[in-house]
Amino acid sequence: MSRRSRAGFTVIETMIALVIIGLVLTKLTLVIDQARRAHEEESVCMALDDQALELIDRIAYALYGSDPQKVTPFMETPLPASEIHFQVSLGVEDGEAVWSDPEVIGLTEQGDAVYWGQNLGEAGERVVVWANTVSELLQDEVLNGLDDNGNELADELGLAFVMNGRSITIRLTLERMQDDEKTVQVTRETTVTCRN
Amino acid sequence: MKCMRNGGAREGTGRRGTALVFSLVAVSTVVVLAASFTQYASLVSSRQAQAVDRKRAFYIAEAGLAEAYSGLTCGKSGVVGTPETPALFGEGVFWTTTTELAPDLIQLDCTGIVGSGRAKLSLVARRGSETVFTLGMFGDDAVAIPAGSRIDAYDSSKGSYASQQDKSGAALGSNAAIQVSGTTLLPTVIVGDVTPGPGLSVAVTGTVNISGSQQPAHGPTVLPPVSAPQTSLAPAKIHDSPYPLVIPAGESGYQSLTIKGGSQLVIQGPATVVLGSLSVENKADVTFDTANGPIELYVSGAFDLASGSMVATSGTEPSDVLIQVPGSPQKPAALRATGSLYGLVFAPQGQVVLGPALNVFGAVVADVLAFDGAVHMHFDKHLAALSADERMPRQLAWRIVDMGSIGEASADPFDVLGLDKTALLPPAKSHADQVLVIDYYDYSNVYHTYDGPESEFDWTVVKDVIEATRDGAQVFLPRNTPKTGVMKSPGTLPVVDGPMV
Repeated sequence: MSRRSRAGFTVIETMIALVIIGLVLTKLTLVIDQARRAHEEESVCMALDDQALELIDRIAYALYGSDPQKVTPFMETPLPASEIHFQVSLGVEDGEAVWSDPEVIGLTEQGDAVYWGQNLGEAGERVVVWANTVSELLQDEVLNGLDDNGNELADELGLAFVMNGRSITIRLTLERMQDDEKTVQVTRETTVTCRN
Repeated sequence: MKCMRNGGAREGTGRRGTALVFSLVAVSTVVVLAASFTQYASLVSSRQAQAVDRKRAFYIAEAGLAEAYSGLTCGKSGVVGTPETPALFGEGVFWTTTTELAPDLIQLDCTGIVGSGRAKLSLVARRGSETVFTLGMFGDDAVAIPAGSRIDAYDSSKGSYASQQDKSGAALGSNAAIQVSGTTLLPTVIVGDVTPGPGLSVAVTGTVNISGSQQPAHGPTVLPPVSAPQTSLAPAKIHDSPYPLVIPAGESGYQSLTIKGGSQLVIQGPATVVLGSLSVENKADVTFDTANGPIELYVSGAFDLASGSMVATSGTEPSDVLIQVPGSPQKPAALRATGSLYGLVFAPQGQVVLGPALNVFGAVVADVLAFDGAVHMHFDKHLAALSADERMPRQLAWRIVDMGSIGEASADPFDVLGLDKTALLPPAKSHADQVLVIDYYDYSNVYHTYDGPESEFDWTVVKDVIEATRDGAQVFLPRNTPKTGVMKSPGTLPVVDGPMV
């Protein structure tokens, strides 16, 4: 009897051990889950930031070679445009500047993608979607006719262009929804001076 | 007992092992996540660093273009650095090459490299040109100013001629001799410089007042030829009607045009009008309407504004009316009309005759200048400022050039190009060497001349440039006060400089 009782565990001992193991497992699961969530959130943030940087650079490089006189619509603050039509210089021929076919950068009809197009509605039309994670509105902006995010623009969409003389300011917000339905947003802004 | 202890020990070990397994799984999971995140972060960071390098290279290439372009503005070739010895700029390098697209068109291509970034930009510029109208009143042949003449100056940008007290700054010049006559009753007044050809002097007879210098020119002035634009000419026309003949804005022309007495010709700007000949007879009118733009009139044959005809301009800006005589017509361009002509007249191979009833506000430059009587010429000093602008090159096109690949995408451009960073020069010292011919005054006002490589010339000794060329092309230096008239001779022999650097 005494030998058996020494060799085994009482029910209470077993229960205590199981509870401790359960607690440890629960805690571990929580820690791992938190780490996974943090990893995912950071990864999404970094990916969006990377994408926003690349996209805004791409738009900027496309606009550098334009002539402000050939850019439309010529929207001044506080009226942003979500689409910009322009032509870039291709060089000089017979003493005259040669310009590209009309180009456009803007939001698609759904408003969630940025596209670049050339010769829209004409022969030789080309359209390329550059990004499809554009936010409906710029970060911290609400459709209420007011400047909610303090950038002197009202109700600007996820991609906004504003012209000031020879300069074009580009603002962009990208967003992505995570598994937990939490939305991550990244906003980038740059100003391009037309070189022609 | 041993067995029991051993057995008990084994059970205890088994429990501890279970915890270890759990711990290992947890730690491994976190480590894998951390490693994956670190790797991803590193990848993103590397891509962002490349994007930053691309931007830096872009701005370095822009700086290179700016350096080359500023060189063009003062007569340099536009070549800055080479792929073998680029210009050092910050942590990167650049070099600029040039391509002559046309006699007055130059293309600059600049490549900038920094870190892993490479960028190439291209710019096409039209070279600046020298206008002859800063010469004021100039004749290639000898000039004789009759008695009773008045040659002075005003600045059209500061208001009308009548409203200005300061009438100084006129320029009368020639590549040959100049004779100025006056009488007690008809004195001649020249409020400015009179500059005869090199080594020559001004012959003054009678009552003449010349307020400025009479030093001869430093060298002969070459007048560039004029060619009329190619345009289809309408058949010859004789206009004899009480209704004015209006030549509308745009390009147009007649093989010959005659305006009979009592008729009127109106040329509306902006217009370029080419005429085989133009005759405005006695009591006929000609009006230059520059309300909407400037007018360029080319008359390649006989050009006669007869005595008794009237000439008028709607504006008072001389640079808005440009009358040019291409080629060397047999008959002179005779401007004997009455009135005020605000304009510029240029006949580099022809003769221009000015009548006594015409007041010219602007400039007249011709191969031969002749006068039917006293001349009334009011030089517009604003032409000098306009000329300074025209000397500057003008950008026609700017673009980003797709570079493709330049060898290995190393983080160090000096490795890629095999360069010794310490041996590279800054942009200002990387301009291609040129043959500089310069006449100048030093800070002791001693006249010097130098002819040799610019790299061996010390610009810090120069106080004022009289004249300079780089590889034979005139050097236009920015001046606070744009110069007018013909460059004066220093009057002494120069000190000939050798290499200074």
